[in-house]
Amino acid sequence: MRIEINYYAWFREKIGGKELLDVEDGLTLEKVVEKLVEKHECLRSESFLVAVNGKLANPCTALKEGDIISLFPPAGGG
Amino acid sequence: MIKITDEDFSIDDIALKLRNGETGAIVFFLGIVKAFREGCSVNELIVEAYREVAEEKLKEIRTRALEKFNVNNVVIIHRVGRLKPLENIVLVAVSAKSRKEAFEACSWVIDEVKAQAPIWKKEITPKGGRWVKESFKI
Repeated sequence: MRIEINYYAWFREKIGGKELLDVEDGLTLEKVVEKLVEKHECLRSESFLVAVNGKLANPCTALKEGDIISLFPPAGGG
Repeated sequence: MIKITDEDFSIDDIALKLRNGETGAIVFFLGIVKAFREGCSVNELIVEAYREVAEEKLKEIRTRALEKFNVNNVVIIHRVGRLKPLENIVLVAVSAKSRKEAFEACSWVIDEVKAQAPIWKKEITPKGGRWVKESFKI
C-alpha cells in the first residue's frame, strides 16, 4: 500500500515537504516510524510527534492505503 | 473561541465580545514580533502551525482553563504566516468576575499554548533564518 508522509517546520527543511512510501498492507504506525527514522538521520536525534489523517495517533494504529502521516516537532513556543 | 488565522485581529473587537453584566475584569496577553533577539535584528517572523492538531490543542487548553479557573470566557487567537516586527502573533483574553482569577488563568493559558500547540516560529535575520526553539517548564 502507498501512504503519504508530511513533514513540518525544521523537519521539512531537512527532509522535504512530503514523500510517498510503499509499505506492506496493515503495517502499524510504529513500524512505519521505525522505517522513517532509519531512513532519515535527522529524526534520530530529535523528539517528534506523529499524526494520522490530522489526529495524534497511537503507535499501534494499523495503517491503510492513502493514509497521510504527519511528523512534526513538539511545540515550538507559540 | 479559538482561532488560528492568517489575518490580524482586533483587541477591541475581542473586548467587546467579552463584555457582559457578569464580567468585572478582562485580562489580555498579547505576543508580538520582536525586532531584536539575541543580539540580532529580526526582519521577519514566519509562524507555521500544524493546523489540525494545533486547533485541537487550543480547544483542549480553553476547555481545561474554563474547568480549572473561575472565569467566564477564554479566547485564544494565534496568527500564522509571515509577520513583521511589532505585529501581533498571539492573543489570550480571559474574562472573569474579578481580576485575580483572570490574571491567573491568562498566565496559565499562554504557558500551555507555548508548551503544547504544534506552532513553530522562524526568524529571518540579516544573517539568515533561525528556528526559535524555546524550552518551557510549567
